[in-house]
Amino acid sequence: MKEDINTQGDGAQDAPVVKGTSLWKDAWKRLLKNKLAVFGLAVMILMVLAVGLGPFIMEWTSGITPDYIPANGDLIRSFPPSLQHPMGTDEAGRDLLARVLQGGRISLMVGIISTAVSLIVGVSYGAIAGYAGGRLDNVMMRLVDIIYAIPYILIVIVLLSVFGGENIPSWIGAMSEVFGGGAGLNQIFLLFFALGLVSWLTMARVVRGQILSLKNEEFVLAAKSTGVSTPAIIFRHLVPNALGPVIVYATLTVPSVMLTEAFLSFLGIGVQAPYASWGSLASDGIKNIAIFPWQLIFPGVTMALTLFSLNFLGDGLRDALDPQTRKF
Amino acid sequence: MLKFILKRLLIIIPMALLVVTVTWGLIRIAPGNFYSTERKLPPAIEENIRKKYGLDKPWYVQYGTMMGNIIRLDFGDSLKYQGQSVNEIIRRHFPYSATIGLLAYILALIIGLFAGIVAALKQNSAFDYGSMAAAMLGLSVPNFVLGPILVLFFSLYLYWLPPARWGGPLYLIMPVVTLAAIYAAYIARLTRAGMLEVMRSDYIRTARAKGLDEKTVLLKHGLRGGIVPVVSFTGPALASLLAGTVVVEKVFAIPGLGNMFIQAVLNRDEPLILGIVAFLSILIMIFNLAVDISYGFLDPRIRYE
Amino acid sequence: MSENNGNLLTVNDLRTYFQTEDGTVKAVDGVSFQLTKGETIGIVGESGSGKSVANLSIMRLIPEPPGKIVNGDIIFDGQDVRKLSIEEVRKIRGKRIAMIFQDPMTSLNPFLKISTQLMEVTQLHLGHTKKQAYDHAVEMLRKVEIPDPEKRVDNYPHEFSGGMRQRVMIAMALSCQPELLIADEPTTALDVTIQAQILELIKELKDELGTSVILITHDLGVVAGMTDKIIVMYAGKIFESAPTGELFERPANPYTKGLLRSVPDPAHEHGAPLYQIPGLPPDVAHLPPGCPFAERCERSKEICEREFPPFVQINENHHSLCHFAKEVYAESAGGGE
Repeated sequence: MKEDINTQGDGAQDAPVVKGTSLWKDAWKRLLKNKLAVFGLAVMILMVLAVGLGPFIMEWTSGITPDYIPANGDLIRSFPPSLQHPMGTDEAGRDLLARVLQGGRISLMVGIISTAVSLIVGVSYGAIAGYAGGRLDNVMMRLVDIIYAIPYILIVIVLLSVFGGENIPSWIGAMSEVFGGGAGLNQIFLLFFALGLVSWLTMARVVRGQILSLKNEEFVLAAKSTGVSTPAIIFRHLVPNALGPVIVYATLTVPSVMLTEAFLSFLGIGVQAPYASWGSLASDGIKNIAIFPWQLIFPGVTMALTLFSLNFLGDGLRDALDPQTRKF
Repeated sequence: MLKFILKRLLIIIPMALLVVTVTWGLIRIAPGNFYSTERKLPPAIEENIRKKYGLDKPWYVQYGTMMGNIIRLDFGDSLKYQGQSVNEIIRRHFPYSATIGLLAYILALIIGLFAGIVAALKQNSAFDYGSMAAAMLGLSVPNFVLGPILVLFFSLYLYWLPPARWGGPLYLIMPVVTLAAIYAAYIARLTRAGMLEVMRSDYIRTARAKGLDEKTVLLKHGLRGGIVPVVSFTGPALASLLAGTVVVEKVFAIPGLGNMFIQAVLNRDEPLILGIVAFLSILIMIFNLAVDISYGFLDPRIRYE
Repeated sequence: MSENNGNLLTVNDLRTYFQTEDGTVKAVDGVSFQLTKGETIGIVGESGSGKSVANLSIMRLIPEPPGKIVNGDIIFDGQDVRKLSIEEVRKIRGKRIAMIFQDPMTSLNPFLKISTQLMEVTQLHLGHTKKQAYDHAVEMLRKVEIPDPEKRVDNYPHEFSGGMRQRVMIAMALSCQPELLIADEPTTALDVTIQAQILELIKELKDELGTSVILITHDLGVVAGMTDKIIVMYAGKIFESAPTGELFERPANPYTKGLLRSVPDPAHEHGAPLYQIPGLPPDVAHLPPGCPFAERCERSKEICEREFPPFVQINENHHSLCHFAKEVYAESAGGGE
């Protein structure tokens, strides 16, 4: 070789060497440049803080709780927005802001838990099918097609009734215990899992496609030739490399499961009284839309704002993680 | 080509039967049945009913009988709506859902394609930002919120449109708009992304280098590649439209099939559930086949073997 | 038609910049050259040297934003292309100046038949009817030696091999008998044997039609046999320009010398490793104040790092961007190294 190995030494800023920023740091930087994504992120942080701390603050400052029902004998208890009740009250006279904040906890938890479940099932299923290939892949993907063709409402209802009530799996009971427990809450946690179990199909397809295109890459052959076990190849070598599209799809799954939960609650299958979610609150509000429109508008707008932010955040993440859409 | 279509049509039959089997399995796994949700019947009568519907036989005999009937396209009578055959119920209620669903998809296509193409052409313009923000809004407002808000505004304040039920064309406007919103939003975003991607490609540069004007470059060279994602979206979209009509049917009190299905599920009306699931799954698979065929017209590189 | 000093194309101090997240990229920074009728020039440089951007600028095909032609005159047959309206530019594109691109796989529209793609050019610029355009398309395919053109004209691009597709591109580019053909790395994506055929074809057709050609390549071997004049570009600047023979025999720039040494020469140095210019092309968003090549240059002196080099005129047609142009030129006289 030539004696010119000194080329990198001097002139740090114009050195032709590629700078050592990691993919994630780079993506994060690009995300922060995207105003809409930052807006989405900010709203989501505020929303999480609001539903997390809001009910405590309200109870502490004004003594209003989500379940508080004024003891007076008024026939009509729905009051329009006022200083005391910024979002008005619901049919029973309960403060709507407190209800919306508390319902937000369940709606956001749907987003997190159901997405996590769909992530775990979808990634494992898709990775195994894609890596196995051949007949197993074929059978697994046909099964996905079949489940796809069954209306998910049916599956959710069946899951809710098979595992509901007495039959609640103990680990779901344990999870709901952390948040207070009880039959109603158990059922809500079961709903989270049921929603996750109907939302993994597209994720499985995405992951399978990624694995299919990755599994013949040389780093996999290298791992194989050094005797790495199959599960380790799948979950240590392949899945991390498919993470970009998975994260992007997961962020878009969050608003989608929240929407599904709301839809089920609207149909009366989802979250049941005395618990509430944005979906069930909006659904209650629809009944009175002609006379007490705020009962629909506030939960509906809160939910729309959240989904709006999540969608922007998901879009931003996609742009940040997908180098193809990078500008020139 | 013909062979491909025939092959795919033939696959639909076993697939539909599998879907029905899984559905049947699901209904049976769930504790209880139709009669446990209705008011309690005297044991003797219940015994009679069980006999009549073959519920006293072992599960594999029941499964066999059911499959035999279904292969003859006979789904039997609804349990809830006594004396009405499932086929009749589907025939009576599906047209409502189909009308709303199809009109909504056509509306969504018109709005979505137009907005997406113009937004891509004028990237970073006010129209681009405006229509994409509107699209994001469309994706974020649940249709059971949008529908009632439309009713509130157009029926209860302005008195322009009838708030619910089935009648003349005026009755269709709000349900169709409510249902179309989210699909229009989706299509607009897909079209914009697809067009932007295509407009960056080498062959578009070639077309410009030939001296073609932007309109020709876009419509003759760009559009076909740009709307491929929209076409692939159409299959699943039409399928979910049929489910999406549930909300619209409920909000606007329209006697469609979606509403029927939810009722059937809540009532555990097994024959009706199976019938509707089989019907919808066949419909979905035919849509998907149609989408796959239309790829071939769009992209000459695709071959059917 | 009015001629401009007998030049078909005069490019004067062209500057095309791109705005990126990393800052302003001066992809083309002060490029000037002339081209007379029927002349063929080669523009040589590594990827990122600005050679393609320069030529896309001539056609006003720079995507804007992020790109922008910030300065310079592009005089084509007496008209300044930069001052024309986009409609007027379109009348030049494809009719009077045509382009062939690097990758024939992606440069043809996969969704449209070859006939459609060929016909639309002559229908637009020559006012052909459908029938005329179709016959002309077949004729052009025959001219580029595609076997069985009557049948092949109705095929889609994916039904052709890479070399055949490039022939189709050439047929399309020459449909209207343009005065200038810009061939941007026309052979890079092709197999070696096909490369020679395509170059031969371009050569024959340009002689037959009297077309001027700008041949862009990173491979000096490609331009050797068919150009009158060569321009060597590096980091958006012209490093050397000279008549082809002189450039090969007496280069006056260390960069050109490096490029020449890295061309494999079968008659020479059996078994010796092929020469390679050390280092990588610079990041054009962050150029050093001195000579952009200094870092990789064998004879770099302290002044090279500090001061931008002058564009030295060696003789009437020979220029070189180097502090030591005259010395390098003198050394080259002795037969290279």
